[in-house]
Amino acid sequence: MKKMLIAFLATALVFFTLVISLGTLSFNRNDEFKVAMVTDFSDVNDASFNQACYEGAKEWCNKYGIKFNYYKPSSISLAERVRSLKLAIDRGYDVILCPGFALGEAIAQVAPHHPEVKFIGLDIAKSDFPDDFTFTDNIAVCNYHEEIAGYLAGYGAVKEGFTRLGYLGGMETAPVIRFGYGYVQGVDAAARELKKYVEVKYVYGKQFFGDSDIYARMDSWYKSSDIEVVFACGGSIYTSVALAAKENGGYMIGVDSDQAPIIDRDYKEGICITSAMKDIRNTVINRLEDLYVNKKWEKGFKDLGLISIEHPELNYVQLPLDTWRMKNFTIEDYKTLVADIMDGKKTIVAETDIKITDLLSEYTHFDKEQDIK
Amino acid sequence: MKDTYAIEMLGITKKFGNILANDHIDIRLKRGEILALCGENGAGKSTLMSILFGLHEPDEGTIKKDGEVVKITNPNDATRLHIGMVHQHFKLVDTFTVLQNIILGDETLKEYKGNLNIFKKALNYLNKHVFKVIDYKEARREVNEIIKQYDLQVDLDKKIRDISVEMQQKVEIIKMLYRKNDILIFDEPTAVLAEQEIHEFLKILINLKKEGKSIIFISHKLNEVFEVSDQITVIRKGQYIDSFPTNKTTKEEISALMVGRKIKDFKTKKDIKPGKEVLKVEHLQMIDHFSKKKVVNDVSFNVRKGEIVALAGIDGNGQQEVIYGITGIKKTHGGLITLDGKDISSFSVREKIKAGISHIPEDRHKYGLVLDYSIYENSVLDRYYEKEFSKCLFISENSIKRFGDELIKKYDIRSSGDGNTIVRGMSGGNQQKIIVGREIERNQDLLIAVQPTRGLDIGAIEVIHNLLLEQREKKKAILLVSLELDQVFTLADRILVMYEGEIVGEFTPSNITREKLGLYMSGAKKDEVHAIKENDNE
Amino acid sequence: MNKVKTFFYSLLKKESTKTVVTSLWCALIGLIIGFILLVCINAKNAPYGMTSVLGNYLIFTDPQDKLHYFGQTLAKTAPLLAMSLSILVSYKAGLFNLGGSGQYTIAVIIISFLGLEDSANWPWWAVMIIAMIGAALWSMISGALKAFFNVNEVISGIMLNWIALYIANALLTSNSSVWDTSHSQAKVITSSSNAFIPSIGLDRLFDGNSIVGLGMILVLIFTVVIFILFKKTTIGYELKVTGLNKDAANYAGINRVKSILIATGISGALAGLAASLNLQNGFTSWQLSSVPPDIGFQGISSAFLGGLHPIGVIFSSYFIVHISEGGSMITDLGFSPEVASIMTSLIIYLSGFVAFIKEFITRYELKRELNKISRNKEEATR
Repeated sequence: MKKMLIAFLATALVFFTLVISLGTLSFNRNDEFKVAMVTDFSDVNDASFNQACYEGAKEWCNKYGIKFNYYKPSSISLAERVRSLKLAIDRGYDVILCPGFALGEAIAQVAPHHPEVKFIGLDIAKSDFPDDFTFTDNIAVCNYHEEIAGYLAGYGAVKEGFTRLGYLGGMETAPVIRFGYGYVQGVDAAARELKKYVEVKYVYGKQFFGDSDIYARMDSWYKSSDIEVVFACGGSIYTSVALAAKENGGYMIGVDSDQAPIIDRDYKEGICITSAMKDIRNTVINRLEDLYVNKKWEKGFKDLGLISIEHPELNYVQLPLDTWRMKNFTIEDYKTLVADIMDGKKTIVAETDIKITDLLSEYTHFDKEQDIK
Repeated sequence: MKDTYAIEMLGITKKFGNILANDHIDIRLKRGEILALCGENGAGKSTLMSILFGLHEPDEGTIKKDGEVVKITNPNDATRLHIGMVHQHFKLVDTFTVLQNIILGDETLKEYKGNLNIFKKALNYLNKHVFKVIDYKEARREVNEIIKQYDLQVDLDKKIRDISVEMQQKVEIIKMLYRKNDILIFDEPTAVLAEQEIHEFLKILINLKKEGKSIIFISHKLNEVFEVSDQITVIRKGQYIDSFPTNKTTKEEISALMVGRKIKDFKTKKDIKPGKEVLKVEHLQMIDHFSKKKVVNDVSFNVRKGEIVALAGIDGNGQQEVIYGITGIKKTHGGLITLDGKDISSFSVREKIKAGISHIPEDRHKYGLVLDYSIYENSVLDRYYEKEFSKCLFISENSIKRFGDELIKKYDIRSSGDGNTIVRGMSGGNQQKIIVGREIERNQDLLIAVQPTRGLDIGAIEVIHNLLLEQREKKKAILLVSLELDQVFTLADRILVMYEGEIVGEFTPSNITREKLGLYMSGAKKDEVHAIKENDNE
Repeated sequence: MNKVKTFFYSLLKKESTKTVVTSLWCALIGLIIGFILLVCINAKNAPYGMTSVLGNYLIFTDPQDKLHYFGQTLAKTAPLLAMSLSILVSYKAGLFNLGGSGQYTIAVIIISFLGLEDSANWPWWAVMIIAMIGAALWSMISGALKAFFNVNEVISGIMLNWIALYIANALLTSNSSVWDTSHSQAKVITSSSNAFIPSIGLDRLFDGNSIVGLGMILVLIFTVVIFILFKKTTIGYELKVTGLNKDAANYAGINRVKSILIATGISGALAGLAASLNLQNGFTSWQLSSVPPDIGFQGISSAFLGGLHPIGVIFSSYFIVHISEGGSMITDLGFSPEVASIMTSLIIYLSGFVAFIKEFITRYELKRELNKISRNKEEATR
């Protein structure tokens, strides 16, 4: 026993000294500019929201040789998000990208104590912050006119010739609802112009990832309800839709980023007709460029939407031109539509606490289904 | 050729925990001879044989077969070297037939001959490499040959659970012969047999010897040893004592060597007139949970103050079940149990303990002790809840300690430390003393002692016998279950013989001989017991 | 001086010392293998990663942060400690509680409803007690199955885990005052709620970390209670006899059914306490899940690493939480979150090998003893 104890003490001593001395030696906090990102629910490989943010930041940081890292809270809990933020600050990061509404409260807890660190929130509504929170100068939040992106996709899909459409939302968050309501409005607008009767099935999956329950619902939509195209709106929930579409010869619309390439690769070429994009990637790149190169910092809330008719690819909400697949609804039509919206010829309601059926004409048969979960 | 030994075990040492089971033991066995390994219980005989059979690896020492050093690390090695062993407790599969048991592990195989043409190719492959089927026909022929050669009659198609112990032993022997073993080890083969069966068995041994088999035979019954063996090796307390050719020694010499000293006489039994009836059992019935067989059938008897009543019989004839029934450990299926005039048939174990039953169980490791508890904790195993040892849910450690120390002193319980010693590492005798002391100290009218000296050495046996006799003098009623006739004859005032769940005879030690008792135990004789009983009750 | 020495030697000979040394060895081996894993993945950052794992809150530079996360580690230790005790109690009684997750889940349901429903304004202690009772009853289902029908408690425990999981998913999501649709998880009990375990000023000790509170002290009290239960009470004596030798228990007239029900009941209540300590301080809430919560299984490792001793599990639970917390902070050093969790679970499960290593040590000692004997003998013959 004595030997065992001595052997233990010796081994432990050697191990701890080795590790800790090497550890403290190898790590130094220097003053260079560094960028971090903290995720909310899903990981950075969700082929959607988080990934777009991650890729944008990574691309920009690589360009300037800047250190970039991401943190994933160890569990879904406010305390863990706060710790991830604090850890990033402690490791000397200067800018922290915070994609996702869940990080609102965490930012509110941390930002006031660390004025030297800049927080860029993405997709966080004012209501996601505590009610009595006074915003400090180091917080900037970017939100999007998702309803416009949804409108573009819905309008395009009906103009392309689809009459039986579906909408699958993820968690019932404000951006997801805006996407959905915009989509329905776009569908209705196109139907009215074409004087065609259309049907829209509308449902929330209550999560940002696909699974067997969601797949089952999508499968029945395509199979029994003859739905032709589904707008899969919520992180990687698209996996269930893509699978069902592939099995049943249907089509789908992607969200957040241009999901066509990844769906082509993983499922079937051509089933993703377009994506209702909000350009998180460019947002991240532009904000970092502003801060690092132009030394410009815009604090507070900013709603990003359409900025250019001539170059629709610069807009923060858009349909991707690189992978344009629609034939009846052409890029020219798309540009006209963008111009109409910017000119105010077409108006889109952005509120989420309305009854969507009040906005629709008799051409649209709207069918809201029970949530999947 | 005759000069080399069939088996030599040289300098074998084996340690279990703190116990040196074998300490540099040498044995030598010539071909075609019977070597008797003599020693008290716990002398290390079984361990030594287990080493030879590969069940334990020796810490030191070498084994030679036919003059060559061999390494036996597991029973497969032993089988390969044609060493076979019949254990004290048979290693048979109850639900298999005799034939299946014999060939188990060494099946005669043949290729499967199907006529499914479609799968021919697959079948061919499988036949060659994967599955072969057991060739029962060929196996039966081989086994029958052995049966004929050695004159061992058994019914090959009966299931093991349906045949007698004697038959099971024969099955074990055939099993060894089927494997073409030429070194045969028997670990206390006669312990489970009645007197008549023992003679049969010894005849078989001599037969085997004539066919050229070499046999090691463990026993501490000197009569048998002198009847069949050629050589005797004595082991005491894990150490090699001496070896003799059987015809050059005497029983007295061997027994003195086995014990290491002259056996003292037991305390003499005083004449005591039995008093009031304490325990009365009437028409007790018990059914085994698994086999649904009646294991206790209409058993009636009584135990009075100041007498020792012994339930004698060969192991497994229902004696233990009777005790389980009385103490409540197992359910009874009819009958009446009365203690001091009170019907306790439907009491729980705890209620029966409280009503006044002290019970020394037959298996101290299974029932009597919690091996990982200390002496102190074990000393109150069935009375920790009593007022003396606990106050409203809290155990009073001090009083337990006081009681435990008293017990240790009074019953001379020896261990490596004080009362906090964990019981597991203690010797069997001292473990048993804890139980005996605990139960006697409860000072109840009825003391049930089931094989109270099982596996103990002479010294410990002596102590426990004297304790029981002392209790008798104190006018306690004692119910003793014993498999050893010596014990029965020294202790009992009355002997009840059980056979297949029934009481087949009731005697006093003075009115029956061992041989006659043996006949009753083996079921060859049967009395109308009720008649005797009535006489006794007067 | 000599006296001290002999005292020290007698301490070394003790069985409990062996358990402690074994557990320490297990933890160390786990850490070393974890380190090797880190080196294999990213040699350059491995030492700092390991320092993070070992240092946990110590790697923060701000002393306030250090304090804050020390408090958090302690607060997260509390539920694991409760769960380890749960495993320990049933193990002592000869039962293997694999249903800890299910019992935890049932308690989560009760806490969520009582603590979040606006109409039910229960005080925190009432919520805690009802949750513990609920979990105890749930656990006693497998106890009763064992006692009356001899159903293996491991199997029924695992099945009850899944049943509880689906009940939780179904019940909690369908209630709008409990379920937070926009976050897709149950609402978190806030510090303003009545159901929030009071922090009695402890939060101020740890940089205002609101999840630190009375719960930590409560669980220590429970640990002492369990310690006393097994050391000093007749119930503990009975449970241990049942666990160590059920035939002896039968012989001694100990009611097996009662023992099993008591053991499963206590163990379920402790699993319920774990849920209470995790939810009623606002740390987390129920999330839709397709697997039972893993705290039930971590409790097993922790109980074994703690040498199945109530005092031992205090340290083992802290150790496990400490390295998991530290492990979650190495994701920025070139280790993906998956690697971090693989490493911590590797350490945890290797730590569970206490029995194995104890065996190893025993053998080693035996060999030495034997050598000594034979050496003595040789000398004697010479």
